[in-house]
Amino acid sequence: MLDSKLSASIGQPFSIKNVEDIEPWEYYEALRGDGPIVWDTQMNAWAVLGFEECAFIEMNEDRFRNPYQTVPPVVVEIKGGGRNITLLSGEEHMRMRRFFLKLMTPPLVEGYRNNQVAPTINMLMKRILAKGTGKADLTAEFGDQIPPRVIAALLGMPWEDDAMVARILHLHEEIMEVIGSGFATEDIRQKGLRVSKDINDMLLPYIRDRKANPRDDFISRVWTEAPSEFGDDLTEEDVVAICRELFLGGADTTVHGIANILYLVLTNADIRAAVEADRKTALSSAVEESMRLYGSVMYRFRVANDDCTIAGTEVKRDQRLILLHSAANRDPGKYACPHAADLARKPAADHLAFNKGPRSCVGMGLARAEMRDAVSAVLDNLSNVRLDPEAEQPGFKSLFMRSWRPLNVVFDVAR
Amino acid sequence: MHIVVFDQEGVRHEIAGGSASSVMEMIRDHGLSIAAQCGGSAACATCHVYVDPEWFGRLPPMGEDEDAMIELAVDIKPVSRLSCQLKPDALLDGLVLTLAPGTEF
Ligand code: HEM
Ligand code: FES
Repeated sequence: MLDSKLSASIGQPFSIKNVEDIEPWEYYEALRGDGPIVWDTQMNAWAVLGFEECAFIEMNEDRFRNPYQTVPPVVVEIKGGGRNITLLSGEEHMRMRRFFLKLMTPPLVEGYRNNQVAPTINMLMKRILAKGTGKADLTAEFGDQIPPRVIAALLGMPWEDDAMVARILHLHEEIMEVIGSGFATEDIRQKGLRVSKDINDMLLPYIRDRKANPRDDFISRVWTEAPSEFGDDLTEEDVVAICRELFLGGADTTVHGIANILYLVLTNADIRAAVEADRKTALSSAVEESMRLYGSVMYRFRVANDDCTIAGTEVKRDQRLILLHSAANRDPGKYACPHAADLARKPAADHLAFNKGPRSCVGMGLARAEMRDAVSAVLDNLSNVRLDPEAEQPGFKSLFMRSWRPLNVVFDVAR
Repeated sequence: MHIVVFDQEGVRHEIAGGSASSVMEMIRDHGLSIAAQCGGSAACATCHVYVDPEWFGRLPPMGEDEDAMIELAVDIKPVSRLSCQLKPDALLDGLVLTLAPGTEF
C-alpha cells in the first residue's frame, strides 16, 4: 500500500521534496525506470539514483566539484570560516584532511572507545536502569546523547553537562536543515548565520583557554599541530573553522546512525539473533547494512565543472547534482535484493553512506565504534528489549538527515 | 593475473584479477575485510599492505599522493604500500601481500 502522500506525488514532476517526512524508497523505485539520473524541478538539480554514477562523481573531484568550492561569503560564515575542511580544495584540502586523519587513526579510535565512548554509554545506561520503569526512548535518552558527548569529550569540553549537550544537539540539527536546503533563501541564510554564531560561541571559550593551557584534546592538538601543517599564521578564526566540522560530523550524523542500527536490531529478528550471537563480524556487518539501507545523510550536492554525459543524459556545466545516496545504496544493479538486510553481503562496507573518494568521511572509524558499542550496551543491559507496542512507533521523517525515531522500548526489570 | 593475500589473521587467500582496476579492489571484491575508506583515492591509508620483500622492488614507485598518505598508516614498514595505488598487471602475477593492521572495517 502506498502512503497517500506518496500516491499524490506520483504523477507530479519529480522532486526529492515530494517524499519529505515519508519513507522514500518506493518512490525512488518507481522512478528508476527513467534511468539513473532524473531532473528535480524543485531543487533545480539532477538527482543521481545509480550507485556507479554516484561513486564515479564522488571519486572524480576534478570534474565534479563540491559546491562549497564556489560559495558566497555568507555561506563561508555559516560554515564557520574559510579554513573549514569542506571549503578547502586541492592540496590545501588534502593537507587538512591528513591532519584530521591523524586525529582518527585506528589505534587512536580504539583509545577513544575506551576513554570517551565507554564512559558515555555507561553513564546513559545507568540513568535508564535507575528509572526502574522498564521503559525508555532509545533515541532521546540514549542514542542521541552519545555522539555529542563523545565529540565534546574529545574536543575537551564538559561532556557530562546535560544543558550543554542539549544545546549542541539542537544547534547542529538546525544547521543541518540550513545545509540540507542548499542555503536556498535569504531567510534560511539569516538563520544559518545566527546558528553558526551560537555554535562558535560555544567553542570559543575552550579554544581561547587551550591556546594558553594546552591539554590532551582535539582543540589543543589543532593549536599545537596545525601550525606546522598550515604555516604559523593560525588565527583563532582558523581554529574555530577547523573545529566546526569535527563538531558537526561528531555531533549530528552519528545520532542518526545509532538510531538506524538500533531500529534494525529491534525490528529484524534474524539480524538480532545473529548480532546477539556474534558481536564481531555479525555486528559489524549489521552496522554496514543499516548504513546502506537507512544511512543518515540522504544526499550530497556536487556541481559539474564542464558539459558532460552521465548515463546517457547531458549535464551542462555548473548544473547541480544531488547524489541521492538513499536511492543509490539500494540500486538493484549493485545489490541483490537491495531492500533486504543481509549480513552475508561481501564486501559489507561497499556502500555510499560515508561517501567515496577524496572527501569520504574521516570520522567513520569513530562513528562505527559508537554504533557497535551502543548496540552491544543495549543488548547486554536491557533484558528482552523490544519496541513498546503501546507507544508512538518509529517513523523515517525529515528530508536530508534521517533516522527511525522515536525508539520507545520496554524491557524486563528484575524484581 | 592472480595474487596471494594473507589477511589480518594470517589466513592465505588466492585472488584472481577479474575486472578490478586496483589490487585494493581485488582484495575488497574477494570479500576480505579491508576498509579502503576513500574507495581508492589515496586519501585514507586504510588499504595498507605489506608487500613480500621479493616483490617489493618490482613494483612501480610511489606517486606523490601515496607517499604523503602512507605516513598515516598504522605500523608502516619499508615494504608498505597503499593497495589502491597498485594496478593489476600481468608482470605482477603471483604478487604476495599481507593486510596491515588497521585495515579492517
Ligand atoms: C554515522 C556517522 C557519519 C556519517 C553518516 C558521516 C557521513 C559523512 C559524509 C557523507 C561525508 C562527505 C561529505 C561530502 O560530501 O563532502 C563526511 C565527511 C566528513 N566527516 Fe563524516 N560522517 C559520520 C560521522 C563523522 C564523525 C564521528 C566525524 C568526526 C568526529 C566526522 C567528520 C567528518 C569530516 C571532518 C568530513 C570531511 C572530510 C573531508 O572533507 O575530507 N564524520 N561524513
Ligand atoms: S583506499 Fe583509501 S588510500 Fe587506498
